[in-house]
Amino acid sequence: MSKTLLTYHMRTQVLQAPGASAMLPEILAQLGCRRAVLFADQGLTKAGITARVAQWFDLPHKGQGPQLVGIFDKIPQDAESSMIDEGVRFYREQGADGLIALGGGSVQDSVKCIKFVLDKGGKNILSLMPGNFCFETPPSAKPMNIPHVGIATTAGTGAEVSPAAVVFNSKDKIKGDLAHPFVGPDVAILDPELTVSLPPKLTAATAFDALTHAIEGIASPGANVFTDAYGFEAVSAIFRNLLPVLEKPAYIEGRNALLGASCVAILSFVYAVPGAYPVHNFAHAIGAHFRVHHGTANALFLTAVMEAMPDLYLPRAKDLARAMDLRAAAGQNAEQALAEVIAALKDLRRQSGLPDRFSELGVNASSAMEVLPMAVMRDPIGLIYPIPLEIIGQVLQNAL
Amino acid sequence: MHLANGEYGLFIDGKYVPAEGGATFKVVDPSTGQVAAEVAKGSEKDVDRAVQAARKAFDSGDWSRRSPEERAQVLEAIALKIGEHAEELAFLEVQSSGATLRRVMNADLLSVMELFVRCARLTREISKKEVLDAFPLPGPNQTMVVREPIGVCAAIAPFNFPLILASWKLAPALAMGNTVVLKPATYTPLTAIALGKICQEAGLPDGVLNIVPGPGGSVGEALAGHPDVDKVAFTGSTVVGRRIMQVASGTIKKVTLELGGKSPNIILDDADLDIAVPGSLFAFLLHCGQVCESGTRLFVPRKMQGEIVERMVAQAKQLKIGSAMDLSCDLGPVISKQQMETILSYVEAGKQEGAKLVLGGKRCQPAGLEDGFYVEPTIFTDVNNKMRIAQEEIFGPVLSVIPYDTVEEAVAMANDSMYGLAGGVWSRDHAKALQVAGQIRAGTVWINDWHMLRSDAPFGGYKQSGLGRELGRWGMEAYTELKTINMSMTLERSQRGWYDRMLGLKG
Repeated sequence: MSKTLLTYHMRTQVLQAPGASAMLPEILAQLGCRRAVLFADQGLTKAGITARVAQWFDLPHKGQGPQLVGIFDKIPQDAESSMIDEGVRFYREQGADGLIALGGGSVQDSVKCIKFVLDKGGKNILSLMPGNFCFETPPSAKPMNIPHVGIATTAGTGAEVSPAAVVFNSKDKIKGDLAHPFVGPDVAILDPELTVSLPPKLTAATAFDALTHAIEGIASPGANVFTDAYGFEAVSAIFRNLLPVLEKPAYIEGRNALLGASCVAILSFVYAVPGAYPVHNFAHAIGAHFRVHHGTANALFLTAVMEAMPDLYLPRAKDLARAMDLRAAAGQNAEQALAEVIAALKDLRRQSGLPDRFSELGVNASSAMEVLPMAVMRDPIGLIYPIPLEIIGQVLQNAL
Repeated sequence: MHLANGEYGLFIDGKYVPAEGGATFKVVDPSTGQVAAEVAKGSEKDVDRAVQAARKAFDSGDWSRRSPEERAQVLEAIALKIGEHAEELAFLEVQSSGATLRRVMNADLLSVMELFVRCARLTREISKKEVLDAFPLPGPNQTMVVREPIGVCAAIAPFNFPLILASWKLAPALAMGNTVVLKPATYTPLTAIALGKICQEAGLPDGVLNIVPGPGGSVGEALAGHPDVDKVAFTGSTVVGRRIMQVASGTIKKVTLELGGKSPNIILDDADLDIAVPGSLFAFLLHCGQVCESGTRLFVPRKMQGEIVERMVAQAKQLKIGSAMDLSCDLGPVISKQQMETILSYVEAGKQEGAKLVLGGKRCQPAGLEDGFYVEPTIFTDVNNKMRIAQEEIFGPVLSVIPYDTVEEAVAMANDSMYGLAGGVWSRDHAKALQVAGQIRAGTVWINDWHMLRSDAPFGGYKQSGLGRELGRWGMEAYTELKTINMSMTLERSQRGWYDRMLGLKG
C-alpha cells in the first residue's frame, strides 16, 4: 500500500455536540442559503424529529434568518431513484437554494443524488448513471455550489460525510454507486439527541453497519494511515458503547461516541482505495432483491464473509483483536486471533438482538440461494474486488 | 508618568504634567485600606487644556486623516506594548481596583490586547467607502457614502474594570480616527495614566490621547458640557448617566452610555445543575458582583429552590476571601469603604423587607487585612421581585433568589425592572432556552453561561441600562459620522431639466 498513490480529501465540516442541530439556520446562512428544503422520512416525522429540527428556523424570532420553504419527508428505506427524481422536482418547485438532509443513509444519499441532478441540470438520476455506476473525479468533478447540510439521525452509515451514494434502481433490482468528491454535504451535524428515539433494533443494526465499514476498510488492500486510525478507533468505540446504549437509550455520551464512530468508520471504508468490500457486496444484493435493511444485512454477512475469506482478514486479525480489547488473543497466532474476533462479533450481534441466520430475516432460503449468487456477481461494488463463485456459495451457506 | 515629586501626573499633549494649582488626591488600595499612590487632581481648567490639545491634534489631520491601514498598525503596536508592560499594568490595576491578580493576569490583559487587535482589523473592514447603485435620475451621478471620525471624544471610565472599560472606548475611538480625553474613575486612575506612555511609545501622535483624572462632579461635568467635545462615552451608574445626557444635550453631543443592571438569571426545571449552580455563582460573584452585567436576580422553579440554594451555599463557602494580590484568593475586596457600607445597608433592607438571608451578609476582616473592604458572598432566598434588593443595583456580592411557578411568570418578573443590560437562561433544551432568550428584554442574553463577552459582539442595554452599543462593528460605527457625497456626472446645462421644472430657472 505504501507505493500506491494515496488521495485523502474529506471536505465535509463536522459539528458534533448534544443539541448541535440548533446551529442549523446559522450554518445555512453562512453557506449563503436563503431558502432551504428539508428532506426526511416518515419515521422521523412520526417521532417528532422533523418538527424538532424545523423549529430552529423560528427561534427566537421568525423570519430573521434563512427560511425553511419546504419539507419533503417521503424518502423510503434505500435511496430509491424515482423518489430522488421527485425530490429534484419538489426542490425546483419551491424555488429553493439549499438542501438539508435529515436522516440516516437513505435520506443522506437521496439528497446527494438530488444535488448531483440539480448540478447537472437534469431530471432523472438513472440517466446520469449508465450501468448503475458513476464515478467522477477532478478536474471534471467540480464543487456544486448548492449549500448542503447533512444531519445524521442514525449512528451507522456515516453517509453525512461520505463522498458517495448508493442508489436503489427498483426496476433492475440493483443498488447502484455514485462517487463524486463534492457530492457530500458542506457541513455535517452530529447531534446525539436526535438518535435517542431510534428503536433498539435499528440502533444495533446501524452500529453493525459502521462496524462493517470499519472492518472492510481495515482489511482493504488500500488501507492507509488515515483509514487505519479511523477504522480501529471506530471498532473500539462501538465495542465499548453499543451495549450500554442499548441498555439505556438516553445515554447521551454513548450515543455521541457511536455517532463519532460511524462518521469515521465510513471514512475508513471510502478512503481505503483500492477497496475490497465483499460484505457490502452481499448486503447490497440481498437488499436490492429482498429489501432487507442494509445494516441488518451487513451484520449477518460480516461474520459469514470473514469465515469464508480468512486470507483477507488474517493480516489484521491481531490488530482487530486489540481494538476489540480481546486481551487473550494478543499472544496467539493470526488464525487463533481471527477466530476470537469472529466469535466476539457474533457475541455482540447476539447480545444486540440482531439475527444470526437468513431464516430470521423473513427471506425464503431456497429462493435466496437461487437468486443471490448472480445478484452478488452483478452488484457494481463487486467490480472492484470480485468474489469467486465458489466463495459466494460458501458465504451463503455460512449465513443460512 | 511620575512627576518630580512622585505623584502621578495628568497626560496632556504628550506630556505628564501637574494639575493646575498643584492639587492632588490619594488612591487607596482596597485590599489593605492603605494609601497606594498620589495623583494629580484635574479641574475644569485642566479639562480645557486637554480638550484644546485634542482639538488641535484632530484638526491637524495627522491622526484623523491617516489611512485606516496606518491607524490599524499603530493599534496593533499598542497591543504589543501592553503585552510588554503587562506586569506593571497588572500590579497597578490590582492595587487600585481590588481585582484579583489571578484574574487580571489571566483574562483582563489578554482581553485588552485582543480588543486593540480586533479594532485594528475592524477599522480596515468598515472604513471602506460604499458606492451606491448607478441610479441615473434626475441626472447621471455617482454617490458614495464615507465614514469619518466624529472629532474629540470624551471617554469616562468606571472603577470596576478600569483598564478594560477604558479600552472599550479608547480602542474604537482611536481606530476610527478620533482624538480622546480620557477620565478614569477617581478610585482607579493608575492604569489609565500608564496608557498615555504606552500609546506614545507605540507611535500615537501627541495630543491624540489626553488623560485627566479627577472627580466626576468637576472633570466629568466639564467634559460632558465642553463645546469642543463632540462625543461622550460613559460607563457607570444610571444616575450619573442621566446627568451626562442632560449636560451633553446643551451642544447636542453624540452620547454612548453603558449603565447599570439588575440582570435576571432564569434556571429552568430541566437545567443541568452541575453547570447551572457554579454558573450562577460565577454570574453574581465575579469581581465581588461589581460588574454591570452581574446576574443578581436568580429565578428558580419553586420546588427546586431548596436544592439549588443548598448547592450554591455549599460551593460559595469554599471560596477564599483575601488580598487581591494573593494568588490563592478567590474573592478580593470591594472598591471602597463607602461601597462596602452601601452593600451592607442593602443587606439590612433585604432583612427588613422579609427576605431570608441564607449566606453571608457581613463585613469580613481577614487576618492582617482588618482595614480592607471585604464583604462575604451573600444570598437571600424567597425574595419578592418588588423588594429593593430585587429592583436596585447593589454592585456587591449579593444574590436575590426568587422562586417562580411558571416560566411565563419568571419571564414577566425578569422583565419587571427598569434595567435591561443582560440576562441568562439555563436549560438542557436549546429550543426552550431560545424561546425564553427571545422574550428577555436585555442587550445580551446567555444560554447556559454568563459573562461571556466578545469583542466582536455588541454590548449595551435596553431601557435604563444604556444608550447605544459598544464593541464590534456596531461599537466602532458609534465613533463615526456618515457622509453622503453626491457627484453629478454631467456638466451640461441642458441636463438640468429639473432646475426648470421645480423652480422655473431659465438661465
